[in-house]
Amino acid sequence: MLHLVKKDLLLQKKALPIVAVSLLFFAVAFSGAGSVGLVISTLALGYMLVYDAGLREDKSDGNKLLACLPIRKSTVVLSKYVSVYLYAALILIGNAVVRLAAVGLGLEHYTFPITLEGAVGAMAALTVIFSIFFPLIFKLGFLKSRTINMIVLFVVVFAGTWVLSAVAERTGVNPLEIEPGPGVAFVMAAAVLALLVGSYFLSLSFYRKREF
Amino acid sequence: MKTTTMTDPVLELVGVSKHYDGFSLRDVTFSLERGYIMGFIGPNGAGKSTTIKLILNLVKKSGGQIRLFGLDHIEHELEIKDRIGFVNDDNLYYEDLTVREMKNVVRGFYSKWDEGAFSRYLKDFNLPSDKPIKQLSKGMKMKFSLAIALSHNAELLIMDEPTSGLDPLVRNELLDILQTVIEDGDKSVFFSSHITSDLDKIADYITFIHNGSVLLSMTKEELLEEYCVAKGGREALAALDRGKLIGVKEQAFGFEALARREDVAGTGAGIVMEKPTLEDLMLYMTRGGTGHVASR
Amino acid sequence: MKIVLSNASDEPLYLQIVNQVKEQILRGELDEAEPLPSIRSLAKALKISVITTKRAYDELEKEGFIVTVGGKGTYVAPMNREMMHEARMRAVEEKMAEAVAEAKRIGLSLDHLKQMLDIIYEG
Repeated sequence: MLHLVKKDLLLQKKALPIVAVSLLFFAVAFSGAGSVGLVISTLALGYMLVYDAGLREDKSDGNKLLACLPIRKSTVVLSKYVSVYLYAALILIGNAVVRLAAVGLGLEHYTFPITLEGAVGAMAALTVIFSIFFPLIFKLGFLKSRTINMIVLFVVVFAGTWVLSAVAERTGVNPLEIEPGPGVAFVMAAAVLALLVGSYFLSLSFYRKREF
Repeated sequence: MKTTTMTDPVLELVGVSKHYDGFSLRDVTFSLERGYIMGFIGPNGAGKSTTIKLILNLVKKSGGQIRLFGLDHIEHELEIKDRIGFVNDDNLYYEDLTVREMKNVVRGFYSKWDEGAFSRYLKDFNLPSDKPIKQLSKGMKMKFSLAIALSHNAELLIMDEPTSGLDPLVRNELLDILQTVIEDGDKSVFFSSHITSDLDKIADYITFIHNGSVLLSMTKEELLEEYCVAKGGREALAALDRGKLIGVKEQAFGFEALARREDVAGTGAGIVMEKPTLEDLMLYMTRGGTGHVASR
Repeated sequence: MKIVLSNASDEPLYLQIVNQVKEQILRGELDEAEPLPSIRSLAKALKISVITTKRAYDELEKEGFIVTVGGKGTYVAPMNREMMHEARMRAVEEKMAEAVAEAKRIGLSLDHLKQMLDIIYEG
């Protein structure tokens, strides 16, 4: 399975410069967003990376190749889910590097901070978003699902930020800065995990039925 | 648990069917024994690629059974795919990766990968290890597919139109390689093509498909013995039972048709009987649109 | 062993092989106990189907010209002088039968035929 993840990375050799530039761009663009900056950056760049690898693969009929090789469909699906977290780790490191450089150069208010809440939030948001994306991707392929998923991404990000700021205005409290109690945190984590697992099985069932 | 034996046919289809909106594959039945080359011929659109996709379970069959090495192709899908190599007419491999990178992606999935064999093929085929696949010529891409297919001890090679778009030199090289592959009697080749001149030479078995149905499946020897291209004058045509002639073409000075030798021999009247090529077979059997094998 | 196949000829490939091998054995060009190529390597060298070469070898074996030793290979069968002589005589007979048939077709008498034979033999 790791071969597959490595393959996705190899496929993106060309995209890396663009991703690096985008990373910088988001770091600056959302510098005012505080911890949330990391979440947005992770979501956007995660989407870019997953889709770049996926589109390149679809273009070369990569799925057909994988279907001809002795690889379990479950392995293929799993590798895509795993790759998301690999990208998240890379994005985190990238942002951390940018932040450190900014701090070192005295430009820290041009980038957003790296915080634990931000990292956890980024992972959670990524998990939720891709749990929604992947079943569609495995059913329709990257090409056909791109438009729908892009819309979903925008809706979630903007609606999400709108809802959060609305709540913050009404109650005077920024929901993102509330430290959830361990009970709530546990429930939230379990929900996200359940969503992830459900998504995996749905993706697998769609992928198994696909014809190449 | 079913175990495979050396005497099972390496490839066996029984009553396989697949229904699409505009096209159906019906009752496809044939089998290939170990150690031989089967040519799978038919005009474009006859159902060759569909059949191969069904074998590899890339599309789901509507009915019938498919077995490789005696094992059901879905129940034992992984084991089977470990033992077969495949070559397609359009390159399946990732164009952006180099030859070496692509090989490294693929090799991890085969239990019997033979790196030494792959290096030998790279050298024999003159394949540059560090060039992106998209920069290779069509012939080189096919050779790359072949190198991969032959480097994991595959027992069956499935080839879907591997020679289309290739020049005669490369095609000849391929034929040579295929005959070397089956030389030990352990490996087999399933070769689909609409360019029949390649198969004329080296195929052991021929399965002919047209409009989704298998019209015949037998050794090339039997085929050439049983059928002939009959040519003669118009009076000769009158003396023959037209029901026994396939794809009759009438011209000003006479006629020509495909027929079973036994149906035409001995009717005298100056009928010439020639050895048919596979192309003749295809041409005459598909003339008239429906294609049929003359009634016995 | 030398085999040259013609695709243009209407004679089946396997028969061409049979006849050419037979002739070489009868002419002494292939020695007794000389090993023959395996059916697969012959098929590869001639670029034909393995089934064709198998058929040729089966036929040759049936007629007693070659023999397959299980596991070791195929060899030219021991032919005693008499057998070879007989085979050659039969070949001559066949040719004579052809000549006679042709002669009858154009109405040559037996005497005329004998005269022609004398001339050809002396010449």
